This record gives sequence, C-alpha cells and structure tokens, in this order.
Amino acid sequence: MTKSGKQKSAPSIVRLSGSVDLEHAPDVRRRLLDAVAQGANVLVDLSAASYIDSSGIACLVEALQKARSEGTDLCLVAISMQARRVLELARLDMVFPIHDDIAAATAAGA
Amino acid sequence: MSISTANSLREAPGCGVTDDVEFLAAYSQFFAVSRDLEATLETALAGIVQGVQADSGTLHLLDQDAGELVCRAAIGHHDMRDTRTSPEEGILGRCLRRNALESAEAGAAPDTPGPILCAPLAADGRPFGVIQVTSDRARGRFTARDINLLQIMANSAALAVANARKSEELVRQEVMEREVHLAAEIQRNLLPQPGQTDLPIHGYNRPIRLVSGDFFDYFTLPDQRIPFALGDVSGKGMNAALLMSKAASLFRCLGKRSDDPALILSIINKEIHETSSRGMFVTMVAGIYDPGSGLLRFANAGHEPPLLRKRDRSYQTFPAEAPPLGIVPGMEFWTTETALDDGEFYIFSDGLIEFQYGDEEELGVEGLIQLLEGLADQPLAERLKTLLDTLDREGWELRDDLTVLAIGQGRGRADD
Repeated sequence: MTKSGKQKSAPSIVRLSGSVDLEHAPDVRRRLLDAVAQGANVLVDLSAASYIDSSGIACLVEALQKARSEGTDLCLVAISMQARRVLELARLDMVFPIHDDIAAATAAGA
Repeated sequence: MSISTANSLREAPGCGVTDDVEFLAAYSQFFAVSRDLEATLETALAGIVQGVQADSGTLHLLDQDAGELVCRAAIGHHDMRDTRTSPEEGILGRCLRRNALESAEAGAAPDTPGPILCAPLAADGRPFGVIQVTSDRARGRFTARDINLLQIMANSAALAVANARKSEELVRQEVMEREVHLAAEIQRNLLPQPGQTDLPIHGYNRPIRLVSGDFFDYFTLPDQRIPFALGDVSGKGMNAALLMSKAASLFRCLGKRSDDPALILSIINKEIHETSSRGMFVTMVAGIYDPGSGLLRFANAGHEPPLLRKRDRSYQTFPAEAPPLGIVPGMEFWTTETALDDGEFYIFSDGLIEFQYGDEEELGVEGLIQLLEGLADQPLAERLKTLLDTLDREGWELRDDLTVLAIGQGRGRADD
C-alpha cells in the first residue's frame, strides 16, 4: 500500500483487544500510527476491546488527528458495550465516525 | 582515584603471584569506596591496562536505547572516546554477544597490528560492556596469566561499574522525586485553599500519584457570583499534570472575564488544541453560580454528567453535549441553566465513581447517590470529607485521580 493510492486503496484495519488503557497505550499508539502511516483510511475494530480508558482514547484521538492532517480518516467499528458507553458519555461519537461493522464502514466510504 | 593513582597501584610491575594478589586487592579496594561512574570507568581501564601490561585499552558500555557500544574510557587511543560500535561487528561485538573473553594474536585483526584481548562486563549474567586491551606487534600474543588476570579484573570492574551506575540512578531518582514533590506542591496551590467554609461551594482533590491530572477551581467575583470548574485530563502522571495546570490557568483567567460558560469552554478548547500533543484532551464542566438568585449556569465538555440533588431528594444528571477539550477546534458548546432551588449540585471526576471494592465492584453513580443520601444531614462543607472517609474506611480502593466539587447551601441538620 503506498501513499499515492490513499484515496482509493483498501483501508488499513487495526484490531484492538482486551484493555485499551494506560498500560497498553504505547503499543496501541504505535499500531495506530503505523496504520495511519500506510496512507489509507484506518478502521479500528473494537469488538474485542473489553475496556477502554482515557489513555486509550488519547491514542485514538492522536491517530485521528494525524490521519485527518494527511487527508485520510479513522473510524471505529464494532464497538463493545463498555467502550461504547465511555465514548458516548464523553460525546466522542461527535468526533469519531462509528460504524456497526467493517462492511458498513466500507460501504460508507471508509 | 585518578588514572595516575591507578597506575601507582603497583609501583614495580612484576609477574609473581603475590604481586598479582596485592595488585588485585588494591584494585578492588578502590571500587569498594568509589561511587563515581566516570572515575570508576577510568580506574577500571587503567588498572587492567597496567595489570596485563598492555599498551592501550578502551572501555565500551552498551547504549541500550541505540543498541550500540559507546567508548567511555580510553588509554592510548584518546580519539576513540565517545565513538560508537555496532555489537554486530568485530571482536568487540563478538565478546559482547557471546558474553565471553575473546583474544586475537598480532596481525589477526585488520585494524590492529598487535594482539588483542577483550573481556565482557556483565551483571546478573547479562553483558553491558566490553574492555579491550592491545599491545604492540612485537609482543605476539597475551599470555595465559594475562588472560586470567583480565578475567578476574573485568569481573571486579563490572561489579564496580554496575554499582556506580545504580548509585547514579539513585541520585537521579532522588532529584526527580524532589522535582515531582515540588510540582505537586505548586499544583496544590493552584486549587482553592480549604477553610472558606462560609462559601456555598466546596471541593476536594486526591491524586492517585503525587501529581494530579484533575483540577477544580472556584472564586468569588465582586458581585458575589462564583465561577467554578472541574476538569480531568486524559492519562495520569506528569504529562497529565502539566496539561491540567494549563487548563486550570486558562479557566482562572477566562472565568474573571466572561460569565458565559460555553464561550469559556470554546476558547479553552481552541487553546488546548493548538498546543496539545499525543492526542491528550481535557473533559471539563465550567459554570457560574449566583448565590443571590440560586441560578446555576454551566457547560459540559465530555465530562461525567454532574448530579443535581433536588429538594425532593430526586436526582437529575446532565450528560455532556459536546466532546472533551483539545480534540476538534471550532467545536460548539452549550450553556445549561438550572435553579439550585435548595438542592445541591455535584461535579466529579470518574475517579469517584470508579472507586473499586474487591476485583469487580465499582461504586458507580448509584452507589454515589446512596452514599450522598446517607450523608444528607451533614453540612455540605463536611459532607465531601465524610464521603471519602467512609469509602476509605469500608475498604474501597482509589483507581484514578479523584476530584469532587459540591455547590449548595448545604443545610444539613448541623446548620438547622
């Protein structure tokens, strides 16, 4: 996947699982930024993420900001109940595009 | 001890066993008292060069971050100091990788005409450096006695270098700890000081570490209205504490100049976004309370919904209508207006409702409400302290920075 194909190339998919928190933030951050650096839109699959805290959200925010500054986007798909509650309470649903699954995100142009 | 002192360890070099034992005793003795890393490195090398009667030597330590060997002491090769070598290359690298003594006869190594001896410096079985000594070509090779002596001296030197490094690390940690304590003190002074129990607003902050990523603030305007705010920065520790200080300072400045909470949040949002790093953000409730009219106006940026305890003991929550500050510039915020009407308004960081009991149970909003109801007879000024004392006493564990702010006349039984 190259930068020259960023508008049309297939999205990069990052699957986060378990606790997306302070302890795992360095690894989560690296994976998300690596995916953004691929030059395509990034889909973050949170179906197996049982817990997310503000440090985990900060990783997502940084990757989103980086993606948008480079003309791509980052969306969240298949969010678990706990993560959805946290994101909606903080009104982060106004920040991140959120889709039920990867097919829906792809259909929406991700 | 300096190199010259090390050189005088053995006044008259000899090859006898007694000489060697005395020499090694003097060598070890210096390390027993030295805690200075640079002096230890210099002496370790000087002693070895003298002990094996080499002409020159270098001492290299592994830079873990760069994955390279860095020359930290040199005798006879002063231009080698600070040079970097890959652990994949040459006799130095082989010695480190194998964690074993390596030797080469004169003419065997491309860049060094004389014989070479390399010994690893290791702690807990893990190599962290290499000492290399060389001699002139005429010598041909180092003797078995030289090799034995180097092995013993390198072990002694490794222990000394490891101790000196630990010692320096301890000093660094102490300096760091002092700085964190100072930062925590400055941070505490950013919060309203306790003692003004006559005001209808009370706050409490307890960091999970020394410094806090939470803050609260309030102050009285000349017309007696009280601007207030409570914020929670993403993450924990010093980076959260620094952003907390910025958010708190911005609020204190803006709260004196505008009585429009939504406008204040939109300005802070823009300011934080301009300079924020690593996706960090701040959830915040900012508002203004008029004790004269009992009117409360506030805006919520992605923060835990505040609780209004009404006169009839029912509770109303106020979920955020906008995301946290610092994420998206140009975000619009909304001001909510409500009458306190002899009720109480509680704003808190998630550290309060995430108080944990055992492995699973979290306090939650329902648990908080139950506790508040049990304390309703207390004056508001004491209620927050009792609330937290109760959680501590019952064995609830704090998992995050905790901040709570309560507004109201707080007519507990003690006030009646």
